[in-house]
Amino acid sequence: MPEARVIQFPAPAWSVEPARDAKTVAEELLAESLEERSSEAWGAICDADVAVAVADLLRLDLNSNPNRVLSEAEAAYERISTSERRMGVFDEKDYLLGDYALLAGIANRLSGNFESAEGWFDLADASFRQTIDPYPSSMRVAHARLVVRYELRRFSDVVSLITGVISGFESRGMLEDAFKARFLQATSYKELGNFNRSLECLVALQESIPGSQVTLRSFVLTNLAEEYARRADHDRALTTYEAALALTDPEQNAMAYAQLMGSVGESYRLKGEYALAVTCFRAATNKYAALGMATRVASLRVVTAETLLTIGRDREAEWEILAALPTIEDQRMVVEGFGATALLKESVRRRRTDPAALRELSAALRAK
Amino acid sequence: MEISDESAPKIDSEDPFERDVRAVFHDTLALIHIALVTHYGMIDAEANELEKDLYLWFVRFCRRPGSKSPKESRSFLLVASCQFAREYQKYIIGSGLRAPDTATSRILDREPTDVAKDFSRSLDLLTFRHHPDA
Repeated sequence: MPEARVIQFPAPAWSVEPARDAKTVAEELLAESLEERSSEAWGAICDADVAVAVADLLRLDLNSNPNRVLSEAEAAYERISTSERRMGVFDEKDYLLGDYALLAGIANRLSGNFESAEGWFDLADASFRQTIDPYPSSMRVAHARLVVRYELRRFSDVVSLITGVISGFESRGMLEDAFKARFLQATSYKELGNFNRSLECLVALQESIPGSQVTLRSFVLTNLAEEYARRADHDRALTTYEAALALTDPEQNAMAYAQLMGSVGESYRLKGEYALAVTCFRAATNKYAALGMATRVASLRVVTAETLLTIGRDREAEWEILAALPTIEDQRMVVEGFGATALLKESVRRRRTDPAALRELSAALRAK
Repeated sequence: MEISDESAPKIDSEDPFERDVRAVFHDTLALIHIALVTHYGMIDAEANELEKDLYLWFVRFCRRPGSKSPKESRSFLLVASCQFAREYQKYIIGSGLRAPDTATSRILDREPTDVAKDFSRSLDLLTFRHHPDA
């Protein structure tokens, strides 16, 4: 055999120093703000292992800071797609472009930009198709697209397409994703008014979701409790809400906590335990106020006022109404000239709150 | 055909997943080497370098969400080996560093997935010989 030398590919895979693992490099990269990040720091993203670690860290932030995830994922996608360095050794670049596009799509969906989300999902699909095993990744994109359809209230679409996604996830042992897809199926049935089927799915999920999927478990319990409350089984609803509350961190998952407290309050109100209902409504109001969600705060204040009037705490009810009315009017939460608002305003001004007008306003806000 | 500890990612001896990936890779390595050297016409040293890269890729691939078990992912490893070898040889030949022989030209004209399928059959046969109950 003749003597031969080994010829390298033109651009060898760049790699981080062996002493520093990819996760550490990823944490350091994300610790710098996007605006202040140097080109040198950005260079690390072209290492396949660092890019995977960055994407994993961003995924953890999706529910608490979607806007940051969006900017980071878009910037990483741009860096990777325009880099002339060879990334990884085979199909890593395509896989990572798909993963970052999927992240950007999900972050867009969470921020309410559904059209942009679809655009990113198209990019994700296109990149994943270039990888050696595109099937599981394309299932993740299909699921993300169905969540957008859910947000757009196209529940029939979700119900008819989700079964394929669930079986796709299950065939690849992606059980966490399969549980999420089953939850989407359950809530879509609920929105379509198929309450029995929804309850069946939720009960099955409650029995099978592992303890490690805390957030999903809490969402399942909340939806189960709402269904029990709808069936006027208030004791069971409250026990189930308590179980959900025990799993919901008020700081790390503030929005879920606020929603949950609002639902618990409603259950107490329907059960006739008004003082407890008010306490829960106020906890939810404070959380929504901290999140800057003014319209949610105003709606809850109206419900709180209604409850306070029922137990003769008229003065407190007036305060709640006076605090809520400016937002209701500024944000046009009810149609202009809505009679009940004017009546209510006038009655509060005379310090004789009109319960009928308050009920009418509350019903109008709930219907929105 | 050994995977150098210097180029392979740091292996946590306690991580059963990485042990599993490494074991599957080692089991398939002989077949990969035959594919690279005998069929794609690479020299031993080139094949050894490429195998190190393939190992890095295989670890990353098996970690992707929804990837099958390392054992079930062997067919993907073979496709990657053939595709990588094909790209390498095309680059070398295209750069004028090596003249292609007839056999190499023929295999470079074939789709790597088809070539890998033939090897998968050999792998099945090999598995059957070693573990007839598997």
